[in-house]
Amino acid sequence: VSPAESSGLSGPKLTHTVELSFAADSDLVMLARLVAAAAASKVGFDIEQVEDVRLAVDELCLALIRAHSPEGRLQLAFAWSDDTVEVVASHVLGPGAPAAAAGRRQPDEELSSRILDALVDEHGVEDSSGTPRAWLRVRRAQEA
Amino acid sequence: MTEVAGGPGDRRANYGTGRTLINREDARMAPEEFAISAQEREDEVVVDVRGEIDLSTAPVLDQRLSELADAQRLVVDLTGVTFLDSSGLGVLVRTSNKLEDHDGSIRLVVNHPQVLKVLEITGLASTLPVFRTLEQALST
Repeated sequence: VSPAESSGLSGPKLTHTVELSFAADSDLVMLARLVAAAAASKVGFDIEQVEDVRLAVDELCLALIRAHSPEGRLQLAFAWSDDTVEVVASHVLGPGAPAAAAGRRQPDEELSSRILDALVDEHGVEDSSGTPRAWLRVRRAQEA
Repeated sequence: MTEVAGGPGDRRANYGTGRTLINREDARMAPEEFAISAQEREDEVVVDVRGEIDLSTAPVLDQRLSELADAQRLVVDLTGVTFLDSSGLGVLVRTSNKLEDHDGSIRLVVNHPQVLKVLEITGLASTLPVFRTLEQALST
C-alpha cells in the first residue's frame, strides 16, 4: 500500500501519481523538490506557485528529518489532478530508531509551520501508525 | 575577497536547484553551486551567499556567519540565493541574535522574489532589515 493510499488522501480524481523513496539524508531532499516542481508544472501552476510547492515539500521533508533524525528512508507520494497537488511524506524508520523529540517546538520548526500555513491549502502530520507522516494539499490559485 | 567556502570540493555544494524544471522555455539543468565569500570593510563585513540554502547547506552558512558574528555590522547579500527554507531562516535569526548581543546588527540584501516571499510570510521581513540592493544596504 503506497503512502498516498494508506493515508486516504488520494481520491479518485487524483489520476496521476509518482512515488519517490530515498535515504533520509538532507543532501537528497533536493530530489523531492525536483519532483514537486515537476508535479506542480504538470498541473499548470504558474511559476510562483510552482516555487511555493517546491518549498512546501522541502518543509514537509524537513519536518520529518528534524523530528526523527536523518535515519531510515523518506517515501513520498505525489498525486495530482487538474487543479490539485497532494503530497504525503512518510519516514520509514528502522527498528530501534529514536522516538521523536517531545516538548516545545524549536524556532526552525515554528518558521517551517508558518511557511506551510502560508503556501498550501491544507497540511498536517500524523504518527499514529508508527510511521511518521506529513502531508499537504495545494490547489491552483485562482487568477485575479 | 578574503575567503571562499562551499566550493567545488564541498559535497554539500554540488547539486542543482531544480528551478529549470519550472521554466518550460529553458529546460536545461543549470546547477547553482552553493558558495559563501566574505569581504571585510572598515567596521562591517559583507557576506555574499550563492545557490540554495536548505537543510544541507544551512550548517555551512551557520558556521561561517558564527565566525563573523563579532562584526559591528554584518551585511548578508542573498541576491545570488535562489532557494531559502526554514533551516536557512533559522541561521539568519540566530546570527542576528548573536550580533545583537554585542550591539551589532545584521542587514539582508534580497531581490529574488521567492526568497523575499519567504521572509515576508514568516514575518522576518519586518524584524530583520531587508534591502533590495547591496548599495542601499551599505549606504544607510
